[in-house]
Formats: sequence, C-alpha cells, structure tokens
Amino acid sequence: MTDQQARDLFPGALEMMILQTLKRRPLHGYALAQHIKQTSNDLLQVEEGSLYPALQRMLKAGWVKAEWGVSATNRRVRTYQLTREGRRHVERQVSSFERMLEGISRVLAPAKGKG
Amino acid sequence: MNWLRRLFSRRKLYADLSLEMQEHLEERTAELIATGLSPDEAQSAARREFGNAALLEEHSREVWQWTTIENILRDFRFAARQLRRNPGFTLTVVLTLTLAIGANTTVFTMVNALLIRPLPYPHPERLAALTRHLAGVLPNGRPIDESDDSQDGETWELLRDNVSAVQAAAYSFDSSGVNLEADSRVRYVQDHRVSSAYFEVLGIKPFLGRIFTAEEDLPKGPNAAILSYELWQTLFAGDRNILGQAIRLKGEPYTVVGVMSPHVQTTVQADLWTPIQPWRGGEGGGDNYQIVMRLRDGATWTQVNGQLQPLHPSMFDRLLKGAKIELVARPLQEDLAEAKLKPTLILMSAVALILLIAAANLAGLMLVRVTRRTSEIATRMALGAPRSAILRQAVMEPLILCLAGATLGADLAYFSLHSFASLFPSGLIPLGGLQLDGRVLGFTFLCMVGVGLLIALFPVIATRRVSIRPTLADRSRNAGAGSGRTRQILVASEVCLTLVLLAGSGLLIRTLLYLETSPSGFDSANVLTASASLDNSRYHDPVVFQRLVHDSLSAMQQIPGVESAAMGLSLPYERGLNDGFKVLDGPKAGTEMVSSSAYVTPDYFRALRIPLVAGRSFTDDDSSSAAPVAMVNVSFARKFLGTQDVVGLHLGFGKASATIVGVIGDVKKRPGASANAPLSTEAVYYVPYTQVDKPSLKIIHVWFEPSWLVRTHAPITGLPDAMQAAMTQIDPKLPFARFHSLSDLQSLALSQQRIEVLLLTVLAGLALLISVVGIFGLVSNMVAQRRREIGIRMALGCTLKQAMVHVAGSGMAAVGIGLTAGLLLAMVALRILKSELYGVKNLDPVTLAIVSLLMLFAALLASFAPTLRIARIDPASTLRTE
Repeated sequence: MTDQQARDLFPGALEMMILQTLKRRPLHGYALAQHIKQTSNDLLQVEEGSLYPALQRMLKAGWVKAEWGVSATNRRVRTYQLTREGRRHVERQVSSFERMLEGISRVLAPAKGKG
Repeated sequence: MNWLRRLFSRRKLYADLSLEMQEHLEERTAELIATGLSPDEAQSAARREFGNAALLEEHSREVWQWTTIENILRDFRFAARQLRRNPGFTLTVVLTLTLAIGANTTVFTMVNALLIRPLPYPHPERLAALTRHLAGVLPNGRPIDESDDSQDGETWELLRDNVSAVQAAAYSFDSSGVNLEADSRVRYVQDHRVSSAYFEVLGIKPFLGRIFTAEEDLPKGPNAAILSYELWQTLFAGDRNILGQAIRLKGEPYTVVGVMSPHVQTTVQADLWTPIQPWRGGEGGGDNYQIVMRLRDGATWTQVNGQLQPLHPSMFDRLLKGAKIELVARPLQEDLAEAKLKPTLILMSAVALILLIAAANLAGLMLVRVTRRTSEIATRMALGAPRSAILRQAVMEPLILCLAGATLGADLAYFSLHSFASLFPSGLIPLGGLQLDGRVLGFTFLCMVGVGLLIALFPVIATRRVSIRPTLADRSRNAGAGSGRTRQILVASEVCLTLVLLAGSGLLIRTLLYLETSPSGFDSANVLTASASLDNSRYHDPVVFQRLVHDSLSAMQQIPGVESAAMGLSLPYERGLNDGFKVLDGPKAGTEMVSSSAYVTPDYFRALRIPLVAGRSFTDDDSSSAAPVAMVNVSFARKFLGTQDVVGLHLGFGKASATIVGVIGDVKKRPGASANAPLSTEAVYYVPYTQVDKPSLKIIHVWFEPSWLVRTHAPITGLPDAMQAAMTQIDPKLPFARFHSLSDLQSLALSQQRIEVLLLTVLAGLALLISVVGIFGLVSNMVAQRRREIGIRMALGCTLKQAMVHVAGSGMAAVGIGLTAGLLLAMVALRILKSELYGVKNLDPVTLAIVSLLMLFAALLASFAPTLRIARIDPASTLRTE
C-alpha cells in the first residue's frame, strides 16, 4: 500500500482523480485508466494496475459500486459508478483540495502587496 | 454486520478482481495489436504498462483484510504446515526445548523461592537474623570474612536489654524429637523451642488461643505448649476444649495455650512448640540459639546496627583472635538462603549451560533449513515478496517451536515439581516450598524469548544475505558455504559447554565415590540401629538413665541371633556433641579446645568392630562410682595431644577430670566442631555412659536422640519389632523414633551429594546427547551438500576412506576447537564447585582426561556415522545429474 502512495503525487491523489472521473459517467477499469492517463497528459506515471487496489479501497468505503456488464466493444467489463456517499465525499475532498491549492499558490506567488 | 458479510463474500470479491484485471490486460493487448504490434509484443507491452499484476492483486485483496493479523496468521499456518511436514525435525526441536526450558524453569523455582519471592510473612523486609561477622586477618595470615548466625545466651540478653529498635526472638536451630503421651499412647513428635515473641516477630497469629507469654519464656517458667493444626486434628480430633488442658510431654505436664493455623510456615518444621526460655546459663552457655528480629515502627536498620555495635559478649574473646568481630543484622531471607544457595547456583549454572547448548544446536538446525530454502526465498523475492514478509516467515518457525517448547517446558516443570520434589532432601527445599508462580513463568518466558532470538538470529541473517540473481542463476550449487562455517562454530560451542558440564558432573561423581568408598573405620554389615528421645524428665536422673540403658540392652541381648547390643549418644555417619576440654598433661598440656564427643556403653566399639589401637576399652567396672575415664580416637590423639602415647594422660572438663585409658580407631562422622567434608574422620573423645552427670544428661538429650544398636550373626527379619518389644518390657512409654541400618545413615549423610550428582549427571548426559545430535546433523548436512564434490573426487580416484575422513573432518575440526575451548573454560568455570568437592581437586587431570575422551569418542561416532552414506554415492550418477 505504501508503494502505491509513494508513486502518487500525494496520498489520495489517485483516488480523487478516479472519483472525479466517475462523477461524469460510470466507467470500467481499463477505460478509467486510459482516461486518467490522457487527461493528466501522461503527467502521472501511474502503472495502470495500481488503479485496482484504489478501486477496492473505494468499494470498501462505499464511495463506488461495481456491476458486471458488456461494453460497446462486446467485452465483459465491470463498471464502476459513484454512490451518493461517494459524490458527497468527492465534493468535500475537492473543495478542501482547492482551498489547499489556493493556500499553496498564495505562498508560492511573488509578494504582490509590496510591489 | 457489514464486515461479517464481507468475510463470507470475500471469495467472490477476489474472483471478480482477478477476472477484471485479466480483462484489462486482454483489452489493452487487443488494442495494441490493433495498432500493429505482434501479439507477443502487444502482450508484454500491456504487462509492462500494467505493472506487477500478482503484487497488485495481492495489494487489492489486502484492502479487504486485517492485513497484519491475517499476514501473521497466514505465515503461522504456513510455518505450521512446514513443521507438520517434517515431524522428525519438529519433534527433535520441541523435545530439546521442552527439556532445556523445563529444566531451567524447575531450577528457577528454587532460585525464586530462595532469593526473589518475599518470605511468607508480613513486611518481610523488616525481618533480620542476628549474625556474628568476623573480618580481618588471623595471626596465621589467613584472611577471614565469615558470617555465623548461632548465638549464645549472653548475646541474647545483651540484645534484649540494649537494642530497642527491634523486637527479637530466640529459637533453636532445629526441632527435637520428643515423646508426647496422650491417653494410653505415646507419640514421637517434633518439638521446636522458641521465644515468646517468635510468632509475633514473624507475624504469625494462632488459630486458637494465644502465643507464649513473657513469663512462660523465663528460665523455670511454667510449661506451656502450642500445637500445630495438623497435630491438633490428628491427635486431639480438633477438640477446642484442649485449650488450657495439660498434655504429658517429655515426661511432664504442659498446658496447651494455643493451636497454630494450618500449614503454618515457620523456619523449622514442627508438630508443636514450647518456650525456649533463653538465658546465659544451661544451653545458653554455648552458641545454641538463633535470633530473629523485627524492626519496630519508625526504626531503621542503621539504628539497629548502631545499637548492636557496642555490644561485646564475652565469647568474642574466645573466638579467633586478630579478626574483627561484630554483631550485624542481616536480612532474614539472605540468612535463610545461605546454606542452600551454593547447590542452587550450581544447578542453575548447569541448566543455563543446557539452554545455551540447546540453543546453539537448534540455531544450527534452523540454519540448515533456511539454507535449503535459499532458492525458494530468492524465487519469492523475484516475484515481488517484500523482505519484511520473508523475514516474518523466517522468524515464524522458531517462534512456533519456542512457544511449544516453553509451554511444554512449563508443564514439565510443574510435573517434576509435583512428582520429584519428595526426592529432594528437605534441607534443600526453601521456606514456603517450590511453586510455579508468576515470577517463575516470567522467567520461562524470558528463556523462551532468549532462545527464540538466538535461534531466529541465524535464519534472519542468512535470509538477508540471499541475493536473487546468483541464487536463481546457479541453482545447482547450494549457497551453503558460509553457513557451514557458522554451523562449525555453533557445534564447537556446544562441545565446549558440554565438556564443562561433563567435567563438573565427573568431579561430583568422584567426590561421591570418595566419600562413599573411603574406609569407614568400622564394620557396618548386620547392624541395626534404633534411636529414641530421652528428652524426658524421667531420665534426667543418672541412676534411672543408667538402669534404662543397662536393662534394655540386656533384654535386646536375649533376642535370638543377636551377637552384641550397645548404645551411644551418636553413631558413625552422625554428628557428635561438641564439647570443650582442657589437656592437663603431655606435650600439649594447657590447650583448651572443642571437640566432638559421645558417651557409649562398654560394648559400643565391639558391636561396631572399631579396632582398639592402644590401652583398653571401657568395661562394666567403669561405673559411676569408679574413677572417671575417657577414650580418644587416633585423630584426637594426633590433633590435640601431639603424641600417640596417650594412655594415662588426663583431660579436664570444668572442675572434673578423666584419665585416658585407651585409643580407638577413627570412624567417619558428620562434621560437628570442624566444618570438613560431609563425612570425615573427626577427632572424638568418648566417655562411659555411667559417668555423665545430671545437668549434662538434661541438656544433651534435648539435642541428641541416642541410638541403640544390635549386631546379629546374620540378617534377621522382624528385628525392629523385637528391639521395640525388648524396650517396651523395660519402659512401655519409650517408643523408638526410627530404625536405620548403617548404610542408611551413610545415605542420609550424603543425601545432598547424591542428589547433586544425580541431577548434574542427568544434565551432563542431556548436554552430551544434544551435542552429539548437533555434530551428527552438521556432518550429515555436509554429506548431502557435497555429494557432487565427493562424486568428482571419487571419480578422480579418491578412495571411500579418504572421502569419509575428508567430510568427517569438518565435524572433527569443530569438536577439536570445542574441546580445547571447553578445557580452558572448565578451568575457570569449575571454581564454582570448589566448596562441593572432597578427595578431588577442581582441576583433577584424571576427570578432565576421562570426560574429554568420552566427548571425543561420542564426537567420533557422530562424525563418522553420517559419512557411511558416502558409500552409497555413485560417482557416475552424481556427475550425470549436472
């Protein structure tokens, strides 16, 4: 588990990206991996497989639920969908993440007041 | 119950997970093929992008588990399975650990009871014994630093009158056998004489009635007795009306004032207690008291020792000149433990050695197991198992084995305490008995952890050393070279420690042999002895006493088959009475000394067949009205009179004196006046039983139970009954307390040596066995590991014999180093035995040579036995398997 987190940008980042992605529409594991890869401009060198431990964690926490189905390409896929609880969680997480980002960027920004 | 449902649906969760990961890989592969890659390339690219699938799956599963506990449980199950698969190995290890930890636990109950567990009294830290401490340098240049807890009446009076910081009580160092008359029966019971404050000082309250009053403890005070609960139950059927009534004890009425609680724990075992009435006269004229003290509220030990310091009993002046003598309060536990401490520490050292030997052996075995699994470990690491998981597994096996060993070891200790404790001489059992309490189990736990760490250490180091590539690349060669060296060192240490144990038990065996086989000085065959208590007011009168002895011996003489009958205050193998005397003439005239002594009847020496060396023996003519006479033994003549020509010389006893009429041979006795070996020839003088005066008769029969002895022509069945019947004719109220043959008395005198020899020999044998198993294991493993090398050697023309010697050499080299180190260690370690050895030096070359040869022989067997398997190695087939 620690290995995964070390590879993340920061603990929980991967989870947040997954949740955020699932907020738009339900996806199966492979599609989720591809989506995250593309939208993050390959910035995150995440092994595709590391998605799965994270997904299991979220299943256990009750933020997502999974159902087997058949994809457009006629594959057996397990589709993940955000639960109501998951939606609330991601909103909380995102807002606190944004607050943190704002804080960080204020500190990092050149001191405007003095200029 | 969400988690409960999850627990049962886990199988489905895992199956879903596997399937979906599988689908993921396939989808990616299909996509890559669509971009134009070959199926093979696509598949490996997909895998690369995916990461370590097995590991990720495991991590995903872990989400659903209580990781740590489940991992441990899984490792536990795995290790347990491995152990079940190797029952021989498991059994060996668990058995070794059980014996080693069991022995340590058992012996530690003694250490615990002696030194650690508080005495079974309230505030035991406020209890002390009064000791005489002698320190300094004697005129002969010998340094001295000794403590002695025997005190005389004057010291008691000084303490009582001058040391206000304590409440003190005197008591007799041992109980004495006395006869108790109840109804028409006479019972022989143990009477312990104690001061009025004895129970109060120890904090023991009576079950019924009261303890002694101060008045009852004054010289010539009223006769009072306190019964033990057990005696009260058996003899008086628990009758409460016994309080205030008189019982006939020692021929006089004693008022029962109290009954003690059941299982009362006193410093001396007793059936009843009577007041000791300490003072400076009578028995108080010698060091016949022991004194226990309790610190009064608000006082300190510094205060007590301050008050003790100015005290100067007159006996100090008679003691060793030149040394500084002072009275010191010594913690009671320390004082009580002293006599038992040495044997206990020797045993503890021996079992600690066993534990070390066992640990070294098991470490070697574990090492072999890990070495055999090197390639398995490397494979697992290559597949992504973290080192922590592998270490956890390496530690799990020793942990399980140690847990099993410790549990069974504690059981073994419990069992042996309950089954064999009765074999121990009662003198070795500490106050309060031996129990497995929390402290002992704590020690067992420490043993387990210690051994566990030792035997897990080597597998852990070996595991850490495993590197994946060389191990996997070269499967055929076992990476066991380094471990071979480690095992040799382990075996060498086992041999070293075993040799020390063997040498120790060898020395004790030689001591026992010396004590048992050195000439006794008399003929012990066909002699039966019987002792009885004459601590009875009827026999304080010399005339009555002499009539009893004379008439009872005449009656015993009438028993068919009896050759001679005699009586004496003490027997060979027993302690004699310590009595002072003055040499009146001859080369050492004027010397005042203390020696062992005894009164005897004229036939005493003839019945025991002790040879007369010079002069004459006592006769019936040496009566109370005749001139006082004495006989001395050869040692007495040499030690105190300075000449063998002693007939006609005179010894002074106070105002009286006696002429020496004969010299008699030495016999083996327990030490009295001089602390020698447990049995040795002591200087003894003898007086006729007819010439002992009234005050002496009264005192010595409190301490000694005299013995009647009969010599028969051949063994007679029913002799004890016949002797008792003869005695009953003369005095119906005088039962014999016990019957012994003279060899019984020898065994009794040597009981501590015997038990020491027995225990140490068993332990040394165990150590030898463990070491032999260790050497055998080392060489067997060497044979297995080097099959290929041996095959090549033999293919190149090496003979079978050369190959065997070559392989066994690794074992013998370890043995050689171990033996040398063992001999060196023995020279230092065996000093602990010095005080226990008689007739043999602690570096006895014969013993050391014998045990070294024994070790060497066992080691040779253990080294060459496994090499027989070399004969079955077929060079062709070993080479072909390459």
